Amino acid sequence: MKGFSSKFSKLFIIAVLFSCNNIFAQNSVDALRLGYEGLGYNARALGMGNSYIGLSDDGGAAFFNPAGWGLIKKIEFSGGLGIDSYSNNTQFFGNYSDNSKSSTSLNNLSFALPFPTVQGSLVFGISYHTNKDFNSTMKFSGFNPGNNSKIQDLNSFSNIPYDLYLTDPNYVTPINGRLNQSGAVTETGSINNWTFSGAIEAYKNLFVGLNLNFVTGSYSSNNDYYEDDTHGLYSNVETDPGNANTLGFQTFYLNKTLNWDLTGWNAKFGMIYQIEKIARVGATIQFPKTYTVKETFTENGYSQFTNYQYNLDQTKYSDNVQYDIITPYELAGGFSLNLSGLIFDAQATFIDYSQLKFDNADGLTVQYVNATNQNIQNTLKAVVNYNLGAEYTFPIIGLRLRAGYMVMPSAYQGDPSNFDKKYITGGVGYLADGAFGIDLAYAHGWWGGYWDNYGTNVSRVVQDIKDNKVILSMTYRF
Amino acid sequence: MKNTYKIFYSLYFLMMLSLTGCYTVVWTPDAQLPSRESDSSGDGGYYNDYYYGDYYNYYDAPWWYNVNPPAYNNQPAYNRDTSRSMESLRNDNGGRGNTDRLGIPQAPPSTRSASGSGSGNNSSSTKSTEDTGSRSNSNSNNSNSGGDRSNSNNRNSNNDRNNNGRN
Repeated sequence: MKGFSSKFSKLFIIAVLFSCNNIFAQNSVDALRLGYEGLGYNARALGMGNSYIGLSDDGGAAFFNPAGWGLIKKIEFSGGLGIDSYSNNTQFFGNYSDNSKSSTSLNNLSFALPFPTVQGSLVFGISYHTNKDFNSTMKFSGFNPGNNSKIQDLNSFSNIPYDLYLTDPNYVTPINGRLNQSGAVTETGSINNWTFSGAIEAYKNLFVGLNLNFVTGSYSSNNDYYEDDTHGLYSNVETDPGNANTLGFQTFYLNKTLNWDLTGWNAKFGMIYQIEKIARVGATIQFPKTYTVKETFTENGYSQFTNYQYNLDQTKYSDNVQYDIITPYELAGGFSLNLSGLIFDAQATFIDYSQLKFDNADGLTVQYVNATNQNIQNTLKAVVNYNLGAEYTFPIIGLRLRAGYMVMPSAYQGDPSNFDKKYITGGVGYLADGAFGIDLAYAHGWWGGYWDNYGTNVSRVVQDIKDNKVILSMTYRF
Repeated sequence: MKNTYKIFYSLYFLMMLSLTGCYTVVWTPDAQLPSRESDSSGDGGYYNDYYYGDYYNYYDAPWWYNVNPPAYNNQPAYNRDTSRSMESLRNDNGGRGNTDRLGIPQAPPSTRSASGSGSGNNSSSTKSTEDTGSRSNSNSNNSNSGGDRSNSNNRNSNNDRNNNGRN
């Protein structure tokens, strides 16, 4: 019976080792990375809290509501810059860390061509824009007093501790927590869109439009993680008994990099109905976006002992796979109310994140893809995003002031409300010579989150995130 | 593949909406460009110029309001005094002088002045010829003078032809 148990244990370990690549791979976080909408690129819209579905009468129609193209009556060129500053204050076992990262990019170039009409409206548009960037960062450091560690966690399903001589030949490790844990995660990249659009006034004051969107983009993540024996608890221990090189464990380092090359396409249908000169009502259907992800994943690391260092064979833990991530439908409705120079906007967007899914995987087993999709269904939920905004025009000087607020709830079931992304926005616009418009918007966002280095709530980094974004847009109409 | 069908259906829906009973009428070159005055649908803007100033033009005035359409004549060009223009062109040929000059009234032959007073210049002798030969005619034949007027009316009728040419 003892022999059978030993053989079963070995078989179990082998099975786990063969599946370890999948364990490091795709999950709901990856799907949400593409599922969450970005802030877009339009300064006027951002100044009004991105509450723009009921307005959209400029190049922002390529992102918000394609029917808005039909409201453009002059030939329009527009472009813009975006500056993003992301800061993350973390708390980890009583220690606080602060880290920030910023980026600047040309985030929009668009062109609108209204055809002369005897009646109604027919407009075509083309736009290149960055609707989302992945800019983020996180640092943490603290002493974990618990009897757990990443080494122990990895040892339960991976042979990384084994390869780094942190265990004996039977996968048994003397490491039992009480290590200083630290790390940093940096993310970069963006989603860029080529949008081809058309809109028409199908009935008096009823505008319909369609955006066809071709996506390119990239995402990169670099994750450094350290466990240090700062208290000298293992200075007299050989992690592989009998191997003197493994005496005096000092540091375990693990580096993970993830690179995505993104392509994809999607379509958005929209309508706007204008009620006299008083109000506009808009609605959009964002059809599921299909992103094809070419992924390169690498893992590197080492273990440092008093007199020796073991390095991980990187090729053994690298992976190249390809798969699709398909986002759910997004249904949105909003209105714009025009009150004597004051425009008030509101909108709501319904997104069922539990319908996010992986598909067409090359390099992943069907069972794994199904299990991941099942996990997404079990952990994510449907949400409704809210956007509010207002704009007041001073007609004599051509100046506009804007303010807005938006809420994007967390997609995870059971998350507290402070994990919802909230933005307060403001903006200013100026029209020169009746043809050249310049708009500036600022958005300040804040939300909470956490990051588990392993397990659940045993090595948790609590995050307090602030995001500041500035968009400068210039528009020329003639 | 399912998504492809969804896109196809949405495009189909949009096309049907566009093609059957669509409100929009696209301008064609054989019609005049709509102007602010003539555009019956031009009152559908959102930005009242009283509250939005220049933003009214920025958003609600179509770009073709500012375009001066070229003069366009939809009548065939040959309607305008065809025979006359053709004659002029024909007579210009060959570098042999403008035969139109043949149509300009010429001074009477010198023989007539020889039968007059025999002194003075040709023009005065011409006048004397008219005086002697036609004064009584002008007094007595009002109908002739009326006939002269009708000739001048014929010139006016040329103007009428010009007008016809413009129309």
